[in-house]
Amino acid sequence: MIGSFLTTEFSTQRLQQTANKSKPVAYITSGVGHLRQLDDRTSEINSIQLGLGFKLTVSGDVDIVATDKVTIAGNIYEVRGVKSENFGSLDYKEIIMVKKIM
Amino acid sequence: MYEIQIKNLAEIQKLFEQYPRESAVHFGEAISQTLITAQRYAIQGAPRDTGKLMASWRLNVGIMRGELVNTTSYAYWVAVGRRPGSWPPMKEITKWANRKGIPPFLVARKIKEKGTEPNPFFDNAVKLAEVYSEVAFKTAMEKTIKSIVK
Repeated sequence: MIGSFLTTEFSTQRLQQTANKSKPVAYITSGVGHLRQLDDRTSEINSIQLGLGFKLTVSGDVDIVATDKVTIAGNIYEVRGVKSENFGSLDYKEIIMVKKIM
Repeated sequence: MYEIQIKNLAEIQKLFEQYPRESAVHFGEAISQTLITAQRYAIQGAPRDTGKLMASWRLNVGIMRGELVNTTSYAYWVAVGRRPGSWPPMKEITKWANRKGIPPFLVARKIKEKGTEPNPFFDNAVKLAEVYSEVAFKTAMEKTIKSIVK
């Protein structure tokens, strides 16, 4: 089970159009990030069901955009938004994701 | 584990074997004073953040023995530092980083890449207490001899 405050390995898939359908295909990137549960207020603002919203922090050079699928420990998350931030000279990305119920 | 080296240990042991009661009183006092001194120096040299490291001590003094233990789980890692290569525990890093207003991921990544510098606060305290122990044990020996002569 994925808990809050965990440094964890992730991999992503990007939607690609094949014929008349969009499917998440090739693995785009992988790395390590900091995954934690989204707070109640941010979940509410983004209309995310309580408990299914997550925030992932990754390095600034990670190629990740909204609608990507992120896989962490067998769970799939859909990226809702990506924000590039920096702290001094250090770049990082904050990602809001929704866990997919399988 | 650190040990304080007592210079005239053989004499002390001989005295204790011959006059255990008198020796135990005075040397117990010397052990206690030495450990309190070590604790004081360790507190002075310990890093300050929440103050938990400085406040978490267990001091036990028995018959001709004593121990000073820092009860925090991270005291060892503060003292010896951390080699780069692995991710630190995120839960603890998060608490620290949030207090400082730094994104926890960046702190953890930096520790993973560069490790942490050792802070030999306890090692230094033991060295300083060792100097003090020479005086304390000499005084204890004199007091013991005086009480035997009486």
